[in-house]
Amino acid sequence: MTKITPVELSEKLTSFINPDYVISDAETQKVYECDGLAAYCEMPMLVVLPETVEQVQRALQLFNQYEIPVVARGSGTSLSAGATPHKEGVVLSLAKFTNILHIDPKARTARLQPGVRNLAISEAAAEHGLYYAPDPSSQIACSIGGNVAENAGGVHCLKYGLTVHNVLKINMLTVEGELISIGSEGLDNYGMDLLALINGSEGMLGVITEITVKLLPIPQKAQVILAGFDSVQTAGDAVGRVISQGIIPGGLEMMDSYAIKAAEAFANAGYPLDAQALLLCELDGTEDEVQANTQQVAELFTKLGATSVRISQNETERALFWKGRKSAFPAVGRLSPDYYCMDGTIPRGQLAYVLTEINRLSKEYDLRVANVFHAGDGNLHPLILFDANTPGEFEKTEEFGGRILELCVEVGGCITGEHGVGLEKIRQMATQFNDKEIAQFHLIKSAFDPKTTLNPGKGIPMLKRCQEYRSLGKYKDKRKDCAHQSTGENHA
Amino acid sequence: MSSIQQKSPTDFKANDDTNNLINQIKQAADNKTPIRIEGNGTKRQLGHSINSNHAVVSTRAHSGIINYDPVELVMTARAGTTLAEIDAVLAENQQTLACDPARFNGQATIGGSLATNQAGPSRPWLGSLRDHVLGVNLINGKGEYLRFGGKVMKNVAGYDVSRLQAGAMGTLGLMTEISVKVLPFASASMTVRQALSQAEAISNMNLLAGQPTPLSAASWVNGYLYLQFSGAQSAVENAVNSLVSGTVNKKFTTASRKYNNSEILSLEQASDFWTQLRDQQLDFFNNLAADESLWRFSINPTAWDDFSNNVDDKAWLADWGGALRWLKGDFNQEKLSDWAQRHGGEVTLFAQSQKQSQRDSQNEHDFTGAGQITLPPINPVIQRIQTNIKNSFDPNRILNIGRLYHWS
Repeated sequence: MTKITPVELSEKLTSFINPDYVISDAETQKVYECDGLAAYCEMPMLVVLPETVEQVQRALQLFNQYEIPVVARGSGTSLSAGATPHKEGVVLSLAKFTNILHIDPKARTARLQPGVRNLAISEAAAEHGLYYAPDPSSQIACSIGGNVAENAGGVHCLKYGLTVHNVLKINMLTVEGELISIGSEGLDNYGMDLLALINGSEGMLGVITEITVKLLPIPQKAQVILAGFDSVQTAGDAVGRVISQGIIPGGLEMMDSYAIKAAEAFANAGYPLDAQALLLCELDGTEDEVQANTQQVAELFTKLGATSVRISQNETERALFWKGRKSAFPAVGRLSPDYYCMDGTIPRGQLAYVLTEINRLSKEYDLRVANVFHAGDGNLHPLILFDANTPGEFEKTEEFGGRILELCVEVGGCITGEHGVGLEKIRQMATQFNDKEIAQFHLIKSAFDPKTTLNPGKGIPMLKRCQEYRSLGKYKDKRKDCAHQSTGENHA
Repeated sequence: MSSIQQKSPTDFKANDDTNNLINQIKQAADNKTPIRIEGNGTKRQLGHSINSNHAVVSTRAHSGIINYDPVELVMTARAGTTLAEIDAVLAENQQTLACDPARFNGQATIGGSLATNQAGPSRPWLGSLRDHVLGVNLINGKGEYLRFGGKVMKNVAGYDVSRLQAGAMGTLGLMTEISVKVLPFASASMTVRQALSQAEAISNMNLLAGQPTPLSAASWVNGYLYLQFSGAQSAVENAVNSLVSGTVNKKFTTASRKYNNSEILSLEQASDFWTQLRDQQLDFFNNLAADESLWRFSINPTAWDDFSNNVDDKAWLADWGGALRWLKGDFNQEKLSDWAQRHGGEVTLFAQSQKQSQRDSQNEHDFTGAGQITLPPINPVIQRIQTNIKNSFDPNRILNIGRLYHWS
């Protein structure tokens, strides 16, 4: 393989892409040096912003010919350094692909370019009484292409599922620039489920150029119950009790006292400042359904010892109740120069234990933590507060974060519920998977990307690195319920 | 908590055949002798038939629920556990599988149901098993015992190998343990039947699915549209009331009542109908004439045009709110393939008449017996990727060879 210089590559690209969109100067490239996890920065060789699928295709063929690493990028809101550039590679931005190609109100689908913002889908579908259900907190900015790459969730996924449950079809370019379609306008397809494999594949299997999503009818009514509790344990138990009543809320969120105070100071949502835990329970559906369920849940919360219970009386109040939760990250951010958001998932029953352990670790590392929790589906977002300007503090924060993720695995959970592995959690992959499982992941990648030039170094750790991580001595096979882990080579 | 959790670990171990299964696959891999994976064999008609000389590795001895936590809404079972057994345990806690796969007379296993990605009439609203699988343990073609996913609702670490198994029909591994999401029973359910042509039914189903109602299944067969509503009792009653004209009280009861062209089915009638539709036991599926083949279309739910209009309604069955169509008769398969493609989907030959079989044996489609063909043919790039994936799990090519495609 012949090498190519950045200048030569740039020349080749500008022969078919608008030269303004082939970026090689450091100043303009600077905005691409990181994604939403700014602690990881790298300058790429080039940034390119094609405007047509054909241009993406030709660019990929060129990159493949010279074996140049390619990092596809949507809105750059990843919280796991999934879109951090490769220093010898190209950032392939899909920011120019912002068209909603077609909304079919009868079949309830939307055909989208990958750069369409998540919220823009629901805004466009609203005139038909429809919306797109997955709603990550970054929905105002994040793109649907990135949502597919990360299998994004949101506050409503307990009831309406993740991205993988709401995507019907994608068009994708392979690393060699071949255009393929995966999925269909029907609900299933013969054979192995490649569509599921692409969802959450973090840009490591192909470059998505078009997505068809399902749209749902906007519920007649939604109402939020805001309940304060005097302990995290009581609030956690209440979550389980709601679900065992046969009610699946549209959203069910929890915040601890630190997060409550931060969010209230930011949003003035009327959160109970004396509570140790806050539950936000949204019930949606038909008028009658919501009325019946709201009453039932409110009574249940009171019976279980809630110190305060409020029910949103109108849409403005509902939006206000949510405002505190949806702005929890920036609100906590105001209390500290920097914050680091973790993303482990745990069985809900382990909540009290995990939060107690996080508090213990918080003291050990002398770093404050605020907890925001998608309580309905067990997805925990501890926010570690730190100051990046204090030498060594980010490293300490990262280690603390790593310990939280290992704790999640220890109680039967996982290291990432919706933010992805990226660069950030690549070391902790070794706690959730053994070498054979990781080897199988590498083989799957090779099935799509034999030269491993698509987002290299992300998502799946090199086996050598796993062994190094484990040899640090902090690792032991903590995986719960791994019934066969200790009975010999077969089960290693 | 369920009583199942109070059993001692030895009860669970009794039906644990993992080591035996690993050994069988390792041995087959060492000897490069292909094997067929089977549970209770309720879905042999799906996919291509496998060479009968390939030895059977059975999951039947590997059964039982390993873990069930009603509060977490998660259940883990061994592959050979029947859905009937799972239903019974979940029902003790007023819970059910989060979707409604075919039970096939109580014989369908959780392993086979996931491997073939089963879903019932509620598919558009409740999804298929693929949508609710949280994790699997599997033995790949090298005899390696691997664990993917987990027992929590959200997990994006690594590629989604669990869902990749859905529809792979055991060609990538033998799943030993499967964790799925479960849900509480709907508190009420009512089914309305309306005498309508298929064209009207397709239009109505799509219209209704675009409105905020508790619709949970919509199917048309033999001149009737069947609509099931599930959820809070008042919501179900109101949805039914707005559909059925008349002034009679339509409060939720178990009896059946008739109004003009509509009828509210009794709970028993409704349950019988949906079960028979789900398990393909309706007359439509069983009374095939000698020259009739049965075709399955997975397409855009609104699909309707001259072709659908010109074929007698009696030859059709529409399920999944229109997204699944069954057609029986004697048809040119290229024409059917064109129609499926025009409507954004695909068609598979589900049951083959003698006549069709003779025709097919003369063309290049390589299959034997009651094998199935999918049209349109697979894209060569996707074929290459699937071959690579197959080889990554099963480099010795021993697992269910030829089941999905003649080349896989």
